[in-house]
Amino acid sequence: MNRISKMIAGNPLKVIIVITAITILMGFFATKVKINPDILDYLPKTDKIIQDFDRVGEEYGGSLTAFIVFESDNVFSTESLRKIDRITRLLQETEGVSIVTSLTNVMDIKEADESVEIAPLFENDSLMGDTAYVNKRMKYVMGERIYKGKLVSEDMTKALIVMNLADDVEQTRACKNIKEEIGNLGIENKMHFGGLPFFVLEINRLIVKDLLKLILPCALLMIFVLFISFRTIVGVIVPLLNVLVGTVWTIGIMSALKVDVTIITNIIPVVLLAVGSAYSIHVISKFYEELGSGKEKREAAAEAIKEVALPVFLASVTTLIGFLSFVFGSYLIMIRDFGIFSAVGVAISFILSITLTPALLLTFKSKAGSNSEAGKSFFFVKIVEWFVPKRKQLFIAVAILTLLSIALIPRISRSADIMEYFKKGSDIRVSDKIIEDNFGGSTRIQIICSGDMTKTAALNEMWELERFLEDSAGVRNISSIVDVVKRMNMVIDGKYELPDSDEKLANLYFLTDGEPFIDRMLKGDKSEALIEGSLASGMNFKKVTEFINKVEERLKSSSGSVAFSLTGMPSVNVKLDRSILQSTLFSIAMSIILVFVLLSFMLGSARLSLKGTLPILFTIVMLFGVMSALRLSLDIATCLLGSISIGIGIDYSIHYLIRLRKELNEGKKYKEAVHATMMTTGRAIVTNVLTVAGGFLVLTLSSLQPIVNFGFLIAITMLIAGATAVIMLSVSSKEKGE
Amino acid sequence: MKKFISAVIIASLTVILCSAAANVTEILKKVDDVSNSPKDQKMTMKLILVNKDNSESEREIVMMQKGADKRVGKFLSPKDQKGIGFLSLPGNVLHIYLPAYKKIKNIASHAKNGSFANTDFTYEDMEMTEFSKGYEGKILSEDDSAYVLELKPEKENETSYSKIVITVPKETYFPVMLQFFEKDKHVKTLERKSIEKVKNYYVAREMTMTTIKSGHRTKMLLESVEFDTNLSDDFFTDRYLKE
Repeated sequence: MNRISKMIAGNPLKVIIVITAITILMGFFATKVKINPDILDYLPKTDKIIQDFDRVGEEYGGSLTAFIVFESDNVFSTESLRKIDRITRLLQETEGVSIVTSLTNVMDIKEADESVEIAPLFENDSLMGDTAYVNKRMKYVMGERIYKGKLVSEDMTKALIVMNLADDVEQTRACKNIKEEIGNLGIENKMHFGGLPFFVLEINRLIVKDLLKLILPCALLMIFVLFISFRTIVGVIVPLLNVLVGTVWTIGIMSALKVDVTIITNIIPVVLLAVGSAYSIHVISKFYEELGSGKEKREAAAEAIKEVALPVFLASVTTLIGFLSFVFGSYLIMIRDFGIFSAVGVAISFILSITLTPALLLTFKSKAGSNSEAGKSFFFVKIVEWFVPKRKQLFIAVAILTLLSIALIPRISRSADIMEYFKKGSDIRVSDKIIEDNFGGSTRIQIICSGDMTKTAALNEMWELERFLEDSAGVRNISSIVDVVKRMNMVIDGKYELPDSDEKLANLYFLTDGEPFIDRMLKGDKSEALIEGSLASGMNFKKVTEFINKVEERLKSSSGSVAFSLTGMPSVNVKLDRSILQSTLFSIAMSIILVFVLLSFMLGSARLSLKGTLPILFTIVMLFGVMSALRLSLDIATCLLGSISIGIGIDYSIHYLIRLRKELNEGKKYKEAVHATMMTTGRAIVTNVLTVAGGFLVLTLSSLQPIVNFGFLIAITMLIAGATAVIMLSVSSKEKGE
Repeated sequence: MKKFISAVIIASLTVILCSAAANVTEILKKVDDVSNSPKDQKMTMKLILVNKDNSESEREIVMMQKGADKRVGKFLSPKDQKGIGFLSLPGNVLHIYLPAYKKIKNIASHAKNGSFANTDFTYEDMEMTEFSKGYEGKILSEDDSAYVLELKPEKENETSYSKIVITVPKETYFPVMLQFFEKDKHVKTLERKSIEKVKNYYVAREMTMTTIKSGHRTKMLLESVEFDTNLSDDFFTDRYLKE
């Protein structure tokens, strides 16, 4: 280390040139990075539910359903009908839209004057102007359970347009197309957009909006904290440059390896901000300390690198472990990517902190920073020193808080509900409520029915299942081939029921074969059919899980000739949730064990390692206790918290312990050693905690609820971790006099 | 002098245009004569439905036609369609016989635009079309062997197609390719192959209708055909359908 530190300190300009060159190269790649907001792309294809979901998409015209609610005083007025018709036709031609169903184009089967009619509900534009015709149609539609509450609301002021999105077009692009085309129509009626694809579009919009909104306050806050700590411009610029360069390299590598940025991996820059600045801050702090003790710049830099390299290295390795633990525990590819590339970013930040940071410090003019001057008035020292004699009380307090938190932990709510991303009162939530109140909900489930659909027995089994879904499971707006066949039978034979022979069924199929709307319900070779229904989307996670379990049980117990499999977003969400929970538990366990082992190895003592790990354990327990108490749910963003907190929080213990040990080894008395540690490493820790907490607190300005929660919780965690590390370690070491 | 020259130019143009128009009308009349001249016909056909993944299914039907607008057919196979019959009569009448129900149902008029037996042909496609009546034509291109004509339906024509482009060989006047357009979008193509003369009438032993969007196609193979056998009107009744 001595040689390396001297080499770096001896050639600052060369170091800067090399790093700049690499940065330019990485920057080039970084500009080519692709953003993929589609969650579905990241679900593992080996999972049967996902495979079924994909299959519905490929074979039945799209697994993703989007909705538009058209509002008017009376949807049956000529003007409204014509507008709905225009919208429907336009959507049919829109790129990314596979099937459109609305009041004006839905295929109706009815008997009229002894004739069987399979025709759109409103046959053509000119008929929409015929009041008598429209009135007749209105009475018919409002009397039919397959239309009322499904395509038109009971009060006739809202019409629903259902779109199945094509599998081969990315859903946000399809939604953008839809919105743009509708916008161009210039129709004044109020329209609401709903369904999962539109939610994802809105999330993307909010993410971008957020990023732009938050970057400035984040930067300003960090600049403020850094300036307060170091009182030099250099002390502000260098850590930020470290972070910037680290971020560019990380994103550049991601892009070069053709890995997309997702809604999770776009947190990486924020994480690097917290981490990257930490390493740099420690180096700067030590540098100023050495300068303050009279060393010349080059010497000070070499010394800083030498002294700080080990703790910073340990810190980076433990943080790395925290992130890499995701790779093994996670179901979602994007979380794994997040883990890998955050780890890469951490490694890069470490390298930069012992190369770029000292190089910059040597290049810029540096006077001794404020490390030594403000020392005597260092407020935090007083707090720590207040705790030192109160050992017993402190540990009792810690024990109580720990037990309380542990008691609260089982009550943490879990949520994979995308609605929670949006603040109450937002457009998207309003739309969703309208769809739920008037049309049965925007969450769709699909059940694939495999069997010989040329047999009435198979259809009878489907019918029984549909009855169960409606009566016992609360599924609404159910549609399938069963209903179509019944209506056909009604028209031919006068009875609204399934035909009593397979030959009759074959005859009915002859009449409907080739009609495009059948493709959504029945496979061409009649070996499979699809049941679709709507669920109320406001269902909280527990209810959704109950629903899925109930349906799965019923499907397992069916003993006939048809095999049923449930799919659709609710099933996917439940899978996601189970995996989130597993990820969280697994990655925390992994992190703690690996960190403990590593520390023992590096510090040469298992006991010391345990001491170093305790504060962070306490922090994690407190973190989940706080989550539970504040009813913040465990979701895609917050599930990352445990491991991130361990990885970053352990750093404080490491830095503090190593420094304290060094001070004690130099022969200082205990109180003096604590004081010395606080004034140097402690100061760096506080700077880091405040910078990080401040940076993450900025996330609470986000428009996305889970991000707000995430930012708030990490800030709290950092504060607790920092305080706990410093206080507990100072207090606990006293007795042994180590 | 100027007036005289203009008059000559206008007159010449008129003659040219009129003769061009006359040319198209003549061509179409010849086409109709060739296609629609049999007094009646009885055919057995195999329909092969080919999906875009190349999986196939077959149907076999026997069909009789009298004049231009009476047609009756019955399915011989597959098993689940055997006995189903259809009867098409003037005035947009279309009856389907469902043997399992022992009932005949009228299919509403616009249903003629619906798919025939899940093939790429619609009921309308199965009918004989008179191109010289109800369509306005123009020559798109011409070479030594064939004309390519563009036909747009006149106002009274109830067809669902906005335009049909036909390739007419100069030798036979029996169209070998018809491209169907809806709202100016090319939706289907009919190709006729293995053209033969049976009893002085041209027939295509193989016809393939391809739906562009889905990639699905239907091959109609003519297994046997008899012309002008004086088919009785009794064949074109509901009673015959039920037999």
